[in-house]
Amino acid sequence: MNGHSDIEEKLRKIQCSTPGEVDERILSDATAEFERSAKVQVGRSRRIIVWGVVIVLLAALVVFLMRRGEVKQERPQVTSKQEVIQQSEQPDIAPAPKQPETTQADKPVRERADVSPDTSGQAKLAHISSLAAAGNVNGLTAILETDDFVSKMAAVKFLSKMSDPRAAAALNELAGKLDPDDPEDYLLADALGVEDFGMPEEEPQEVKTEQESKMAAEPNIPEDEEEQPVGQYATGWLTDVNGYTLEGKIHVGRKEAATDTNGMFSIERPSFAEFMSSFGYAVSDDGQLGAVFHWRQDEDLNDIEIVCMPFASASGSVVDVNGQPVSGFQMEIVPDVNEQLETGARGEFKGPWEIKIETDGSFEISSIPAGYPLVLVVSKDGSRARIALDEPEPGEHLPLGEVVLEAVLEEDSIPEGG
Amino acid sequence: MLEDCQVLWRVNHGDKQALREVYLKYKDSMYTTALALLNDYSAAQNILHDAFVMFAKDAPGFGLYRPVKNYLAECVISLSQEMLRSKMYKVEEVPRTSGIFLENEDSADEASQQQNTAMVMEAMAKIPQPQREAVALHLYGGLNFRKISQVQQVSVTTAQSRYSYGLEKLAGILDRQVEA
Repeated sequence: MNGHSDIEEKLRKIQCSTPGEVDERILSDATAEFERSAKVQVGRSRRIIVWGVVIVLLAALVVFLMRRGEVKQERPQVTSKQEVIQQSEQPDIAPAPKQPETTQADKPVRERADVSPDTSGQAKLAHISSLAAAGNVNGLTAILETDDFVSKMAAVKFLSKMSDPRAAAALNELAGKLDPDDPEDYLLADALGVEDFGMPEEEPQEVKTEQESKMAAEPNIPEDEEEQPVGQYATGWLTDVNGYTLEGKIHVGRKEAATDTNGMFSIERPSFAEFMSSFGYAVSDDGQLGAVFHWRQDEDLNDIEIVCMPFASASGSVVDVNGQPVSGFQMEIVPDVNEQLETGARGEFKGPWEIKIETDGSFEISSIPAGYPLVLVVSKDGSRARIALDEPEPGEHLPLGEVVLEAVLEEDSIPEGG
Repeated sequence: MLEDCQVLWRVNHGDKQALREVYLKYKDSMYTTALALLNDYSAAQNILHDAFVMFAKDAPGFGLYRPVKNYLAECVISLSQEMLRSKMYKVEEVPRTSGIFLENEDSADEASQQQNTAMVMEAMAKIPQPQREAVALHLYGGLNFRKISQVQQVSVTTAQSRYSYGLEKLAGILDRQVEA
């Protein structure tokens, strides 16, 4: 480009300028735009600063709350592992922890000698915790004798977690001494798991350990029921045929559970000890829909969908072989499982149906869940009739006509009826 | 550069006088660039106006070390290209020299300067647009070839070639004008 130096020089000399009024117009417009932009910039900066301050304050608040939470968690802990070991090596009655010298001499002795007479709640809790950690049942039991409510509550908590019979006995004894007029005793009763504490005409209930209380908290579980491993629950939801969730109740064996507002249920798995205990039924809260179902022992009982349909109904009359009306018979509906009916281990199954029997032998059955094969069994004095209801259609009425009771030829066989 | 930095710091802090200083420093080179590109004093004034208003808008947050000259030159070339692309504007070969005010205030030289300027702008209007951009941006906008290549979205060599061919054509045109 050296060859163009002349023309470059010539061109560089050209320098034009704008007239003064044009300059003023441009500067005026540019200044106005500059001010407007500066204002926006200031507003933006202020917003950034405000948000920055807010974020910093929130972060500080979070840190503060986290630290506070950590401190709270650390408080009830045992002071050191060495102390626990020392406590466990001591006899049942533990010595008081180290106290400030000035307060010890002046304070009246309220507590028993085996209880820490200190003034600090934290020290008391640490002392009780160390007793619990050392398994010192007698030490904890002695605390129950004191008037210090906080210590008693702590001791109750620890004792209720112990499996030692002495702990249960001490808690039972304490439960018997509770005064319904004392507000503190209400709290103790609550901690002990005493139900209906303070209610008239009630005997003090037996205090249970934590495991016993947990089991007792489960609704409708008979005491003779086989013990279930914790966490073995069947879960799922009730729906109608359109897939909408329903609120209702579910019964499996002798267990019952209600759904939440979303139709979800959680019920303890059946024991499968008796065949019928694995059958269940569900009924919607409005009583219009229901279902019968059967769970197998090897079945995955998580997220089960139970579809409820409109109930079916049935009616008819029971007669003998001569066609005469029969009264005083027994009638039941069972799931259609022949082989299990012939064994003695089938158990009972009570469904949602309602059976009305008139004196002339006529009967009406309502609330029969649709969609599952059922059998109507009528029996009286060695005579029996068995009518298969098959799978009733939703909302269907089954006219069963005359159900003839026939004598059972062999003890274990059930003749077909209807 | 340091001077620009100080002025920009003042601009960042809302100093209108600093904005004025920036305008006075760059207005002539930008105006001449626009005039070289469009050969129309009125359009060049409008482009100068728009370019400085754009700068004023960005000025409160303008980076202290960002070259103002490059920013303004890019604005000028961008606005010029936009104007040319609109097809409503055609670069006239005969400029209206009445709008050209030269830096040299010496009345004796003013007439010849105006004549020279008119001849150069007329010659610029006759060369192809890419070459005109390369010449105007390098000579009047003060951009280096790397920056021109970025603006024109070509390689540096191509930008240099465009500049070289542009000068060659301009020299030929101006020679013919002198002979005529």
